[in-house]
Amino acid sequence: MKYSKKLARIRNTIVAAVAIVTMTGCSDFFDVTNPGVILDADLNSVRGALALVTGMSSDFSEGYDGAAFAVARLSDEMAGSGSYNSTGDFRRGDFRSDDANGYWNDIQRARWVAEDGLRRMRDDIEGFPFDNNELTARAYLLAGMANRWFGETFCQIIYEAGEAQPKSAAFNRALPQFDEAIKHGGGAGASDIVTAARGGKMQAYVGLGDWGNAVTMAALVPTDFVYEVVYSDNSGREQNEIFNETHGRYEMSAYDTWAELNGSESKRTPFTDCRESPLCSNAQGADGQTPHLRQEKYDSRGSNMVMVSGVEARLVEAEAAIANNDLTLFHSKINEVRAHYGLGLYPNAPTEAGDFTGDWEGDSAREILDRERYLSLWLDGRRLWDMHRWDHPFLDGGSIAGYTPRAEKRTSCFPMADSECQTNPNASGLCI
Amino acid sequence: MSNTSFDAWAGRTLKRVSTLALALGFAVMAPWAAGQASAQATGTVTGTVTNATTGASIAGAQISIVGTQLGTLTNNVGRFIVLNVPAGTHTVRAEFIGYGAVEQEVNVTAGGSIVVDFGLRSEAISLEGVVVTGTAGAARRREIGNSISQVDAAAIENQPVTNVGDILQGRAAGVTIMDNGGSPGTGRTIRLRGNNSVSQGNQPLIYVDGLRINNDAYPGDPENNQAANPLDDIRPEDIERVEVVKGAAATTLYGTEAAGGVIQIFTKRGASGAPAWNFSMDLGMNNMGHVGPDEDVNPTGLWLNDCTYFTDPNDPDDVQPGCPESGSWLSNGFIQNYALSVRGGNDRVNYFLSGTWGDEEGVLPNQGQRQYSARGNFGFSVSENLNFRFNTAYTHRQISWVPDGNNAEGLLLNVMRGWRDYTPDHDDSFVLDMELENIIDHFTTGLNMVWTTGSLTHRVNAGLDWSTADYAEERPWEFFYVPLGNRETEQWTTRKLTFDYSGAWDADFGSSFSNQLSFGAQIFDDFINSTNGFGYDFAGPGDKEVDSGARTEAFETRRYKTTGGFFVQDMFGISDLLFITAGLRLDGHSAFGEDFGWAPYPKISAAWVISDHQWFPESLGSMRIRSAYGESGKAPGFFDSERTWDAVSGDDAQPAVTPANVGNPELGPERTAEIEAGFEGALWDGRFTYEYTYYTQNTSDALIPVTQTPSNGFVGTQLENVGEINNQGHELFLNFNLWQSENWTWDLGGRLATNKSEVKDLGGLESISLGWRNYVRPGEPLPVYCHDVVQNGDEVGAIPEFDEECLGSSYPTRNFGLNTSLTFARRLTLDVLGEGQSGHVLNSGTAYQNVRRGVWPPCLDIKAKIDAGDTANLTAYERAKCDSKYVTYGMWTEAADFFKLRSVSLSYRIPDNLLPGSIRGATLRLQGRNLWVSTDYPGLDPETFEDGSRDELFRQEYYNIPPSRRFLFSLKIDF
Repeated sequence: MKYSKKLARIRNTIVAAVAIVTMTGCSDFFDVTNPGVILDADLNSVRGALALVTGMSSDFSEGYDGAAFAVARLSDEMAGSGSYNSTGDFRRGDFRSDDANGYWNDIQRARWVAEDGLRRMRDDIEGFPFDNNELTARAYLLAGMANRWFGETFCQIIYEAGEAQPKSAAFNRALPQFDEAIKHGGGAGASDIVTAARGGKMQAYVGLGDWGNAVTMAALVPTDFVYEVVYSDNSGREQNEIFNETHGRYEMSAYDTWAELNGSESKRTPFTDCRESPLCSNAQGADGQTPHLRQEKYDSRGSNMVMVSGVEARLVEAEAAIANNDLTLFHSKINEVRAHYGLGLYPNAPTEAGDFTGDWEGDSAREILDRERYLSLWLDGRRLWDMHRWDHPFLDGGSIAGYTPRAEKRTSCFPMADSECQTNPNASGLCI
Repeated sequence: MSNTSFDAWAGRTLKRVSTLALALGFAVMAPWAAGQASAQATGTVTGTVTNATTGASIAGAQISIVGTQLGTLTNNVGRFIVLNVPAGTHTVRAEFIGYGAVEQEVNVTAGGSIVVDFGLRSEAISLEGVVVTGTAGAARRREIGNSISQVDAAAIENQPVTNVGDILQGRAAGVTIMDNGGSPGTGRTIRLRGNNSVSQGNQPLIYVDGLRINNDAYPGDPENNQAANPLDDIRPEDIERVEVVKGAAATTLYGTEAAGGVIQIFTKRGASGAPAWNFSMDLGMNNMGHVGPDEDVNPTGLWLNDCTYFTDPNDPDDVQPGCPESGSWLSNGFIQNYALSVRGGNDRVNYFLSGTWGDEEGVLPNQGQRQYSARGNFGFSVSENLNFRFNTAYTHRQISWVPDGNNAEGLLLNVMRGWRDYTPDHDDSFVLDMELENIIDHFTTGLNMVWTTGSLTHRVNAGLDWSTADYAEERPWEFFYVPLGNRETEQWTTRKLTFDYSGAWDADFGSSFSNQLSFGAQIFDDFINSTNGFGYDFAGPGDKEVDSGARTEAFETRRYKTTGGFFVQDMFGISDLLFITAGLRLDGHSAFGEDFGWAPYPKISAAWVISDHQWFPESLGSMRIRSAYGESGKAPGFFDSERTWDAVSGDDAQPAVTPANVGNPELGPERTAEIEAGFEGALWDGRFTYEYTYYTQNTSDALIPVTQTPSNGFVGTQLENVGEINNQGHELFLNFNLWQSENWTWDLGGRLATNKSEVKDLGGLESISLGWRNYVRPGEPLPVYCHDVVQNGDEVGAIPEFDEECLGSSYPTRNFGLNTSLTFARRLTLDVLGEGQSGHVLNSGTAYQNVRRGVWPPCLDIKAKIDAGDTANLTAYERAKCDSKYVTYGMWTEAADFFKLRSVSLSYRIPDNLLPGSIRGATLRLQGRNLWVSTDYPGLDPETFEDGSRDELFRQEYYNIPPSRRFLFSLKIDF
């Protein structure tokens, strides 16, 4: 009997202990640890602001090269010579809302991290010196550039789950952000940010068709100025996707493009003909048939891309000159560009403004502009935007390397993304 | 059997709750009984217990003298002796899990010894069988309200089983096991009653001897696009039986994470007696038959079987560059497996020790797997009421893979694309320069305690499951795709700690009512650590380490979480006929949101042994009707409830952050509620057994990765409890002993299971893409395959017009198995198992991509017409299917129904008089696996799935090596 009572006590103690441990010790007991994750509140520190702004740059870079890769295959910049499903569609000018998800998300993230980061730096980070701070200036520049990129890329614009707006909404949103970048960058002595912001305003005014202000801003950007989107071999996220997709994997080629006609030795559109080079692993693209003319503009995983440049400023001035029918000024500005690259100059000004024809040897002002912008901004992710605003004839059934388009009209801007249509009632029905 | 005597029932219940406790009880009682018997005339009953069909001895079978407290267990060679049996006529009963009980009447004489031998016949369903999984401790099958599938060692004794998947494939209704590929080491996909989770995986929980083990595929192998599975670390030679509970109605007591079902594996135990040894050996080969479309249109098997006619269909001397000298990329892969085990002990201590070693080559160059394992299972009886078991196992596997699947450096992708490949000069042997290796170590150790104090029984399972994977992938210097080479390594470790306590209190209320109150608590502690290293750009040739690269990267993952909960359950029995069980489990979990709290999971079930009523016709044998309702869940992942940012780098290696997760403080588990009902029984003295179950389960609060409105800034997805998924189906199990005579035994069995899933709600989302054109969409199965298919297929000379259509479930909705076993003279056994899966579609990415390249054999005739401009007589369907300009993935997505001859084996038990005296038995066996397939699927193989072994929800075939055939010669010796 005595033994049984002892057993019973032990038994009851065990049962009670198990229940107590399970029921009452739980607040700490169920703590989960995952050291790699950063909680939101942890970002509210002065020292953390640098990582926040670098994150803005990183997110911009992360999306920008991918969009440029898509633009190259959708436009006449490159032959889609690979086997991605997207390449199969893009080279035929076909781009749908479900293709747009990644690009829409990348642009929205780049925009939001910059805009919300500025809010956090101003309102949440106690003691952060917001005014006349280079970090503040760079954050505004990145916010403005994200909006400029947004306006140039997508057919319609949406902010904060609102209603769809025309492209101009993005350019209008970018302008005051560039102004703030100029203000804070000037106060901090960050002249490169100030010049880049002026170039950004130039790009936004072009988007708005305000050539007067565009030219005013362009004049403030020297021809040799370049502000870059940063890439690096440091990590996979930082690598230049266009390099990887042309050097690691042969997904697009300069074959049958103006770049090929321009020659492999060109400073603006360099490429290696893999049919003749021992440096290539294969002669043809990933589709198994298109000759691989490997672009060399981005010749490493860490090759930066151009965000804004003085060359573009001269080209904007040249385009504005056409609009003003000042073909002499156009001639001068185009030659400034060619001189910058050490190329031969056009001896004479064109005799007519002309039209965009897609003729490689055309000598009207618009044909020259088409060619010079193509070659100067090659693989910068800007070509589709030019084709869109010019209603370029390539959009009407143009093809490269025998890949004929699926529809009469090729895509010239990215449609609303499914990810927005599915989650934003205001966007419902806007997807294709 | 009395229907009304509670005392008798209580005695039986206690006796059968734990076989071990009973055995030890008898052992302790024996001296007492002997003392009592000394006052009266007694005798001895002795004998052996064997498998009636094969003659193999059965260790651990329970022997009881009906109506007395006398009994024992058979020793390790199937022999038993019961002392001090009162003189007179007695009924001796022999029973063992997986076999039907047998009784024989004996006349014991004072001072005499009578020999009685038992031949037990395998019985798939026995109402008196004790099951453990899904119950609080242990219960007789007649007492539980849900279905439970059980495969015993007896059922697989003559099967060509080389891993756990082989044991269950085609043998358990409602268990769908899909081979994913033919590379040695490739894990299988296991589904119990389909998919019920969009985001949290659908693999069942795996328990071994009461311990939860890792059930996630091992990491690594991204270049092979398959993965190894920890379930395959358990050696089939060590397995005593497997129990499977398939839905929430049965898994409630497992709580959170159990909605995908539970598979519990019981390993062999020791038995009293001198050491009894067993040695087995398998020798054989893997072999691949013809690959791809039929030989009449595809004579070279997409150049995998035959490298000739490479670019010229008329030139047999036109050989693919780099092809092996044999003229084929395929060869027979040698297999050798050896296993040695011993079991023995005494009344207080027993043991089972085993060791295995195996080596297997694949059908492609460089493929292979080498493994060895060791196990020690020990039983200790401290007193009549306190028993311990201590089980420890270790397995080592070394797997070599070949680049495969969706991989520009993959062997099949390059070989099968012919001259439209990626390799320099089409020499695909360059691919084989890449080295892929996975080294796996898996250690499991646990302690089981059963302590009975009066009417209370306490059970404790506690232990550790620890596994590591060491993955290495190396592209050597001057590798064709990466000329400077690179190397990746991953060291991955997971540790799972289990503490599981359950108590049961038995009480009676009068002579007709019984009650068992159960309660318990479990704690599961998970830790995962992974370190990845990457080294790029070597300076020269030779063997490398990560830091041989000019540029290196490293990544680390370190995660820790805890799940815990407790339950209470009460089972009320009436006259041993009707059992009603109600229970509740409460769970806490690290990953629940801060505001969520505890998750309750209720259950209720009823079981009615209708055949024990007097009015039930005896000719209808035994029968039980049952029904159960229960809930279970699946927890969200690490930090899914928190707003988080990821640390990244930018501006050339500067620290940076990027948004990761929006956060949801109310996040909780998804809940699956299931109702199942059915019946089971046996006719004609157990020769015909049957089981039927209908189930319907509804997963509410399903964790859906809800796309955040991108224009609000956070562009990823956030898990939200907004989804609803329904699964329902039927499960039928039949087993028929067609013929039973002294010389002949012929069994025939069949299983059929259906599963219809439907996504009811996605919280307003119209569609979630799972990748590879597999989607989650309301009103459709989970998942559904949707893509563009031709709409004007019949039009002649027309350009194809496409529209998206949802073509069907990506997972089988019907699964059926047929088996037959024919034994002659208890020596020669022919066993055949076939399995079919149907009601689903599969996309052949291989066909689509080859059509795009003009190298898909069935399309060559149409391609020739297209190339010649002769398209006027082609239908839009023909062009949509075979014109590289129009073909879509949807056009190559077709029904993947199949029936495969899973296994055929012929076993022969060598007569004892031909064996040396020290040999107790020997069996020779010839066996084959995956010998024949019937399918209309047009791609490589209807079971070939890209990344299928990673618990991915999508299904896609994309240049993956199909499951191979396997031929084995086996020898098994008992000594």
